[in-house]
Amino acid sequence: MKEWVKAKQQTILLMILLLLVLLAAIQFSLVRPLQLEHTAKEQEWQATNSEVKKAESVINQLQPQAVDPKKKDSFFSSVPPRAHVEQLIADLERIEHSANVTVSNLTISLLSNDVEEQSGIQESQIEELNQSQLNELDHKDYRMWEGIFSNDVITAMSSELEEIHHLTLSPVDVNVQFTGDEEAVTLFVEEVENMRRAVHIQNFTYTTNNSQLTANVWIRAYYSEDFEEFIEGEQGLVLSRD
Amino acid sequence: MKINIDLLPQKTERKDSTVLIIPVAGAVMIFLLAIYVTVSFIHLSSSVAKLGANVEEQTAYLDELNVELLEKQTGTTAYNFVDHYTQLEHVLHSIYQDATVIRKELFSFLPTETEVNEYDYDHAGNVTMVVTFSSKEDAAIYLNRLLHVDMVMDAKIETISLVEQNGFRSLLHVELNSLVGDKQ
Repeated sequence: MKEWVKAKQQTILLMILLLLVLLAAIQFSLVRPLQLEHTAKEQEWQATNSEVKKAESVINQLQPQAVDPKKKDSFFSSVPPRAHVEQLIADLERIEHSANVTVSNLTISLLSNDVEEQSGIQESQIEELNQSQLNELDHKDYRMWEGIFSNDVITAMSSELEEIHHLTLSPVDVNVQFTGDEEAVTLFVEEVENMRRAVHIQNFTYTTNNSQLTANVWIRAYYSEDFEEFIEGEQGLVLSRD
Repeated sequence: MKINIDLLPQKTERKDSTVLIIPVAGAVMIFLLAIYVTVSFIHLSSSVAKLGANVEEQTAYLDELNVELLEKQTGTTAYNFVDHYTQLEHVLHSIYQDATVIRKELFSFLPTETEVNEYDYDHAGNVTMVVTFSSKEDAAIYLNRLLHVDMVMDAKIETISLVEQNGFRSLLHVELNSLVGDKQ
């Protein structure tokens, strides 16, 4: 044996060298790429895990909201889910008496704001929407406000509208012709502006004739059907004589 | 009797064992390295496959979570309707300045013995007034005062006509900032 090894010493050393080279080639061509892929997969796994934890945390923090029980009865009175024209008329009647003016004419018009229906997109279809469609939806949502307010208003209120620009908002216009002295007419408009119902005075005109004013005020109130499903129990509007 | 003592080291035997050590050590090293490379390859292959499957599963779960989040946060839902309603109220109450406040502000600059015969305001900030002044100078003073009011962007007198012995009826146009944001 020793003699054979001695005789083949160079060949054996050459073979050992060749095997070492072969192992090195296997290491660099197969094992090393696998190690790199493993590292990349590990990083991907950690990144996905971190995103999952973040999303879970956001979802866990989301709790269904509830109206403060103390404000439950009046919570939706500022922008009711329905036009509630009868409430507006009743409020104007009350203010007419308290301001001591005489209302000679009331004209009411409900303006349709059916941009959402035109878009034909339901909430249940959100999952199927891609980003460009969502952007399109956003654009349509803004049209609900553009139909009611000027571009100047939308630009001025853009930061406040960021969260709620998608809401459906419909206007109810009431035109009131009335007479009274200057103090009474001013008081009437002032009280209209301070009503619980959110209103905007679109136009206010009057002419004076012997200390008596003949006035006209165009009031715009709003309602939003988006909140109807969140009103608990039977809360239909019931007016009574008191 | 001849005694022969050889104290020198047995060089030939050592040389023989050295000849054997190199190939044996080489073979062992090759064997160990081959095991290491094979084990590494098998371990890494299975680990990569397992990680790939985990990532795929976790990505699918993340997609589900994102859809759930989108459903809860898109539009007005049970999770945000109070915030949205409160914000809507805030927005509607903070768009325009009150018409009566604007009127009061404009009237506060009227000279004495002046009567407003006609008043027309619209929420875009246009006011038209027909005012009877006791003199043309009073009309000029009022216009000058209006032009110095912060909320007034522009004011002009279109006509001044003598209507009574001591009265001058004037038609005024005022353009003002009616938005709350403009006031701020």
